[in-house]
Amino acid sequence: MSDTIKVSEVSEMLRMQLDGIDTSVQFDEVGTVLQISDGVARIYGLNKAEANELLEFEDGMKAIVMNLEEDNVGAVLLGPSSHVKEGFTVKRTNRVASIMVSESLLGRVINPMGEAIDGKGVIAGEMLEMPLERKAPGVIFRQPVNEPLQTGLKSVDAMIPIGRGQRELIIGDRQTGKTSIAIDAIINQRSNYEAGKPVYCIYVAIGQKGSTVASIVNKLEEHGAMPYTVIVAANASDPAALQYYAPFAGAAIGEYFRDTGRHALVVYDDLSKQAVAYREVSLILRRPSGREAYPGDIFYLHSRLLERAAKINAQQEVAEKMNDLPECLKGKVKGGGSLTALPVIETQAGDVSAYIPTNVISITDGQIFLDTDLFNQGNRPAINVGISVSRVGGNAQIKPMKKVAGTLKMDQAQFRELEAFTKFGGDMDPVTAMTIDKGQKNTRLLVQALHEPMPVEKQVAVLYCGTKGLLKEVPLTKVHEFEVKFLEMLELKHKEDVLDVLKSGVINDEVSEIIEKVAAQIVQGL
Amino acid sequence: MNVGMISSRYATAMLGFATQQKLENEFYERAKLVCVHFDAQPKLMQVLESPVVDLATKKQLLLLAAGSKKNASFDKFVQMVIDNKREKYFRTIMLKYIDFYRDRLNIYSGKLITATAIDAKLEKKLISVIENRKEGTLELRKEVNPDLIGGFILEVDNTRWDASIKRQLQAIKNELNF
Repeated sequence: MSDTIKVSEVSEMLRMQLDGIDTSVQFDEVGTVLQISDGVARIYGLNKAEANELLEFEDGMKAIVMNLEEDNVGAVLLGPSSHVKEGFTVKRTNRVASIMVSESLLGRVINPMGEAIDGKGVIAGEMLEMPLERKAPGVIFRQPVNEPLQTGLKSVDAMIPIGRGQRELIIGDRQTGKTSIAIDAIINQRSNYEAGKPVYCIYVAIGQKGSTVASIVNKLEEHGAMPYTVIVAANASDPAALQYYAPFAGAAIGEYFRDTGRHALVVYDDLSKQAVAYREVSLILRRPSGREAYPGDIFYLHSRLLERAAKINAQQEVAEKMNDLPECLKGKVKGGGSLTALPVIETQAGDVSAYIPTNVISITDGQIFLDTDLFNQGNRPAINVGISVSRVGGNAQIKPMKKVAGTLKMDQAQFRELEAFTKFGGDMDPVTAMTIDKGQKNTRLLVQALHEPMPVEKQVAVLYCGTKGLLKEVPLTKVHEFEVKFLEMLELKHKEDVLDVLKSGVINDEVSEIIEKVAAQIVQGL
Repeated sequence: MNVGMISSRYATAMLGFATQQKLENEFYERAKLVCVHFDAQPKLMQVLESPVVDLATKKQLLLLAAGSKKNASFDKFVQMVIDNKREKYFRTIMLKYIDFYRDRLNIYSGKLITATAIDAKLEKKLISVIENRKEGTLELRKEVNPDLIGGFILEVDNTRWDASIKRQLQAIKNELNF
């Protein structure tokens, strides 16, 4: 061991480091802690402090200015309150709350301040300081959503398509598979990463158990998704301020990729817990409370966060002039990047008309509603097609998918309605019976196993069989078997003439004919 | 809710009243004493915020914190604060009064912390450095804190000039991630 450590080398390095440290006399603007309570400090004397400025206590603990009042400054602590006492000195840092970002964050688990919490050591490399709070790009710096973001889930990509730069809400009760949809979407980006066209993913865990975050990290590692993913975690045991800032840290990391011309996907899991953390901080800061005791600016909190998801104008000269660009990004901006947001909201007993769910529904470009009953019936992902919608994603869908699944959403909604009526009994006319049979089989086709995202060309081929009624002769119990065999056959015998053609965004009579032939062959064999 | 303006309004009224009564200096000394007591006894704030403690006790405590000598005008001011149920802002009212008073008379406060007691010559030199840079009267408090190891910390109003060995060592420690 001793021969591997060269003392002179270490000393030399230390010396070099010491030379770089500024130990000269320091001038600071300081204040005194008047009161400390539940994560909030009231400070007297910081007359020139700015909103969102980072403050530093004597022991190095940080706080962020949130309230600027005439006689005091209210700051939220980013550490335990027990470390701070009345009378402590606080100094200004002249820096707004920010996070150091670079590609070296990929594959790491960090806290909202950018510090590694995965035990893999300090995050090294050249980093850029991105502010946590930043204005969203203005109208002229954006362009319409026109590129798809494939989640690998048949029901989402076919009926509620998501485009790059879109904000699609995932909403549902506890234990309905909200996180699973988001994780599947992240796992599905692996093929893009391997093809050299990565969609960088940021998963923001807010107020979750440490063990849950650990199992998500393991899941992503198992599926090879960590090399292009950053996990920002503010666990349930962390101060409310950290839980409040976690989504902003995720957005700041996403913006780094977005503004440098790349694509990113950010998952906020979940914003209900962030709203609760913000309510806690606001009440301690004595801000007036409104409905459900949330502060008046809770809508603004979520809207300013979600507005940061955008598809940036591809024209370089326009993108370069983007509003509120941080100093560190000047000269590095590239057009055409995007930041897609998948916020998650947990409802209580399916109540989508509660305060926070209605707010976020109105802000986002659509929602994926997950239903407990559907989940318990075995329809997973348990998406309630009737009230799920994607307002802009349709434009981003690839042509074959649009052609094949164009009427699927409507058909499924009609089927659900008819199914409800038939439960009363009575005879059924042949048309109704056929609609119900087709609907049941399509429902089966849309069922997908956990963490097994499907490439879009396979989705199109499978859904073609469902929507064209090719499963008429297949018993309901054998739909899954049909799907497996059908995809196997296509993979083995028709990769080039069907799957590759569909992947390139083309569907023609030739392809349709082969699909129909293969389906008929499989049906015969069942 | 911006409750900060409450303290400012009371402090402005207090200064006006004190000036009229020619008691501004007396009030200033009392305000400083109240602040010292609030710093030394954080529980005082808890008592003032408590809805269980009756107003008479709160008034008694505030008067006690302002010094043993009685002053009818100060009593009157405390009574007004108590009557308006603003006793929990009493500390910030006093702090604001001190600021307003100092602004008016161009007084600035300073605090000199050293590792060991300094001699009069060095103290004079430091004071002259400050007075040369800033016009007005300096009110200097001295404190000895051996934790500094060496050097000094000088605070003038809200600015701190930290030339202590402790801070320099801390900077090295932070940089080397110890």
